Amino acid sequence: MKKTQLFYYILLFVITIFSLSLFLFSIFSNTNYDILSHYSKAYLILLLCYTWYTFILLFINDLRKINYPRYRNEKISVIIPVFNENLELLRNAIISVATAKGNKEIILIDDGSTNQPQQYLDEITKEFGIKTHYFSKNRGKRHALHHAITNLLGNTRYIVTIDSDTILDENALIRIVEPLKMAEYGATTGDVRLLNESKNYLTKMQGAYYWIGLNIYKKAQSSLGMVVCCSGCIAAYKKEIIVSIIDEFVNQEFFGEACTHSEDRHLTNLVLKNGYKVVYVPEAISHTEAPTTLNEFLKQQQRWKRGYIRESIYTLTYAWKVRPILFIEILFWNLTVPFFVLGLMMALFVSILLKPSFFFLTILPSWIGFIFIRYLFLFLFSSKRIPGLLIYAFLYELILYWQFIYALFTVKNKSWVTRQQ
Amino acid sequence: MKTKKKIQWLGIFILLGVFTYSTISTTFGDKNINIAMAATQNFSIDDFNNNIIVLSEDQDILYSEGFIKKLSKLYANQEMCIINDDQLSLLLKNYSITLQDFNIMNDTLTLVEIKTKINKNDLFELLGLNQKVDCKLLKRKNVFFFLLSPQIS
Repeated sequence: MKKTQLFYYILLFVITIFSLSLFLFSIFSNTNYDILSHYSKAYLILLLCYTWYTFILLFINDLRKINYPRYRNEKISVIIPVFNENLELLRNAIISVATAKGNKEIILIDDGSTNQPQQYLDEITKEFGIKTHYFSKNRGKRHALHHAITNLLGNTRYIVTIDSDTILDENALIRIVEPLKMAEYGATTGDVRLLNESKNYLTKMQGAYYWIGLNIYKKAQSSLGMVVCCSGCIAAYKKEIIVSIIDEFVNQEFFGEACTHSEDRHLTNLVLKNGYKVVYVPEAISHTEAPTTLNEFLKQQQRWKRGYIRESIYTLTYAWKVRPILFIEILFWNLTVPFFVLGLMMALFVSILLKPSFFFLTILPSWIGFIFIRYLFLFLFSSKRIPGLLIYAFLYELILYWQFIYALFTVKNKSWVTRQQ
Repeated sequence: MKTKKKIQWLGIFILLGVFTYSTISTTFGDKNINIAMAATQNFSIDDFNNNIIVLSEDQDILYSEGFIKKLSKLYANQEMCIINDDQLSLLLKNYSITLQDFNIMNDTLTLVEIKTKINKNDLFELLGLNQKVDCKLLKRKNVFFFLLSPQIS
């Protein structure tokens, strides 16, 4: 397993160096134009193939609507790991869970917070009969989940994990566990909406980002039962599955280093690895707060990109056996493309500097055309988010893309960066 | 699936198909052959003070490497040649073409773009060109110039 991960990790560097070499060669070689042209054509083919692939999956998703069995009051355990959360937000999250429909127990694990939530929450935890456990020092979210699952679970069938600032709709719990009544399903995730989407341009941009991530990509992956990440905001698992994988989960290492962040994606990976389907349930609606400053947002993105690389590599170690199409998607799109296009991204900036007319007359229109086609569903069904999408697209080219390259070199970094230490 | 949904998907796939076709045909399809003709105005060798690497057939006109590079960058991936007025007349007579002036290194050149799809061999034959002979002066991959005798005043 470690050797396979190392192989793929090195492969990413090879792709990056190859891409960079193509760019440099195209700049300094006499035969430059030919190379850059073939290079961009290869990317174009990948982009078109992936766009078709996504649309076909979305079509299948619409064509084969699955009617899940209705919820029949089965017991649900809702686990809320907490670390230095704003106490007012936490209180609202707890109330939303407590008042949501469903037969449930609530387990709150405080991961060594320094803002003394125990005092503040005492009354509310008693009122709603919440099981609580307070770590004396910070151990990490994985350990909080591990402790709750190994020590505090009651006689329950399903486990739902939510973030400490997640507000649930009243039907969210019962909707999210319904697919789990079918034998082949192991985990589910729900819709995440932003409470503060209208606050500023950055949150509007994230509103579009979340909408696309959920209603295009997760929905597409869901049609084949292979959603790659059950969001930390709201996710549900079959109890017997999560109990069987929880030790492997808490002990995850990446090249000898214990893993801390992106635990939601790893948990999903372990469910997929065991051959279960993972689906997106848009009717299970939750709400959360998005970062409101660029600095916070970039730190969050940096953490997610490290997790993206690490967990995508992990997916490649098992996916060929259980879901070959997932293997192909991860290898040829999710992992290869961000590094393969490095040279083209550099060429893009060079063209802006040296040949602005070429950029504005040729590259920019085709770039906008691709955005329109790839995110057509947002244009059709959530047009108020178009400005947010355009801001995101520009920010991606300017900053977010380059975080991938930085993340490749710092993938072992364990910093959570947005958790308040 | 409801009828409205079916129509919606039909529209989406038609749009995606059209986009894919236009993208592929633009990127991989036949390109018009562009022919750059040395303009008849304000063209002076004094403007090109780089290493002179190419001579025209009758050696009246010298082209600098800087000029060639500029021109090849402007029309990357296009095949080019520089023709004289007689050959331009032949083109005008036989093909639908447009003429467009552009500036390069302070000189005005005229771009002759052939709008109709043509066979390259037919074109060479019409202009009395021999690809092997006329290309030997300067050949880049996919970009080559035929250096004949442009009318320079």
